Amino acid sequence: MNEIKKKLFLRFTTTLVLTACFCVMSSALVFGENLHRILTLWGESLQMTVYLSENISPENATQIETTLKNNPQVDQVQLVTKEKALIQFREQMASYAPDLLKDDDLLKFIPSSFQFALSKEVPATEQLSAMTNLASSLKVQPGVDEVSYGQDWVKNYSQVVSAMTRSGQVFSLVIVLSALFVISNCIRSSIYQRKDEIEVLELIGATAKYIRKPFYTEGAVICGVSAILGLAATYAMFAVVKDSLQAELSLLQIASHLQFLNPTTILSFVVGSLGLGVVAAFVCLRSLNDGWAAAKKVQT
Amino acid sequence: MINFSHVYKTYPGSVHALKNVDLKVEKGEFVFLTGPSGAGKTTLFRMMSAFDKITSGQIEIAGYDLTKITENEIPYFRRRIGVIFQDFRLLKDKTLLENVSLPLMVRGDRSSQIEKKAYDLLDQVGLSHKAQQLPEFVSGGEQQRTAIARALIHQPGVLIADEPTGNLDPRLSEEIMDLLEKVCAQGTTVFVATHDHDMVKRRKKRTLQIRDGMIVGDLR
Repeated sequence: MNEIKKKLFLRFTTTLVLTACFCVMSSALVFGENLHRILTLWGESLQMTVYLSENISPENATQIETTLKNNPQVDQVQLVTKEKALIQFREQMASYAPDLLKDDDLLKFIPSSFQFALSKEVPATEQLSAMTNLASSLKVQPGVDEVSYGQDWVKNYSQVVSAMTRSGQVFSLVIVLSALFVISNCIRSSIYQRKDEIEVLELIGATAKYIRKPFYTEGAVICGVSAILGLAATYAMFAVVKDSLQAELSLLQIASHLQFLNPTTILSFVVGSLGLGVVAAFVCLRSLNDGWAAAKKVQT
Repeated sequence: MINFSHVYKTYPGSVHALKNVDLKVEKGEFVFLTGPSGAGKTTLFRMMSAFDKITSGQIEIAGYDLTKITENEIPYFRRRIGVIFQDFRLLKDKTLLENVSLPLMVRGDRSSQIEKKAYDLLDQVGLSHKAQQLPEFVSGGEQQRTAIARALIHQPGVLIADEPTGNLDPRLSEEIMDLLEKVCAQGTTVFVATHDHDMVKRRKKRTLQIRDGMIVGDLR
């Protein structure tokens, strides 16, 4: 009876430790995915404006528009004429400087322009270089007066994205390696606790496949159950954190964009954990159950 | 059935556990192996059950050349022999019936046949009424009888026992030896390592004497 209790206790503690481990892993995944989502969202709001010269010919304007529309990195190309720009300007400035609304000479100072965004296909980490290259190539086109894309903001945004991506990669690697270490140690401990059982099975002629199969199953089941429990715990924490920070998140306009892992990621996470359990059991068993393992002690 | 030819076993540190062991045991023979502690009985036993490899020489048991046996063949060799230990080596979380059934389960026999055979064997060793008990709730003698039933259920040609009565009182020891003689009478070769000289004298069977890793006597 004590043996059965000991085994149950060992499985319970192993599951508990692995649940904590998978909880950390899935929390890192949720954090990383949401961070990426928010950064992508900010990236989508980046816009470039090509201001056209006062005396640009219709052919040159068409040429610039064609160049932009044919560029795979460019999206949502829009011509903003002088008149349209003036309307937009007046709408924006109405409350700040009402006198400007009456000034018809403004039309002389406001240039027509092409506005466009970067394609969603351009990764966040490459947006700065893509915009810089585009600006350089557009500036030399005849009829282009100036190219603006909020250089300072884009530069800062790009640095944040790069730093987050790099630290995220390092953090993920550390988490995965730690998890592997913990999982293999838990399974190793479970296997060594049952060394006697393996010896007896070898003694009565069990093949390696017969001996190892239940350990593979156990490794997969314990890891699978732990992964599901870990995901459940992470979901609970995510819901609590999101609820308690609702006001702040709404202010930053990101509340609706924060999401838990999608079903495909959840499924991949659970399947991956099953595989991790089998691999850990395989690695641990290989050194123990080698047919001659039943007694390594030297006795004469 | 059992054939040792010029067998040597040396452990690291130049510990010569077996030196030039030559012995032959025929089918259906009952043989005692005696000797003081550290003489090499357990080493010989481990070589016979393929728990260790010899350094040089040749061992043939039940048609298997243990000097050439591969890791994949070991389980199939062990299905041809039965092994009994001093400490019984029963699985503590399985009932006596389940323990006895194990060799047939690993062989892949049908469960209905397994249960019937296991009950029959437990009956033969007088334990059918305790079939559903866990080992920790039966006596040492009953645990050893269960171990013997487990070693016999797959009808091995050779039964190897290492100090099978070492943990038992004299009355239970006699019971176990009676059982082993009965098994031998049914055609199984029985090889028993023991240091119980009184029991060996009483049984009047072939007796090999080992000392310092060498066979120094063969009394028939």
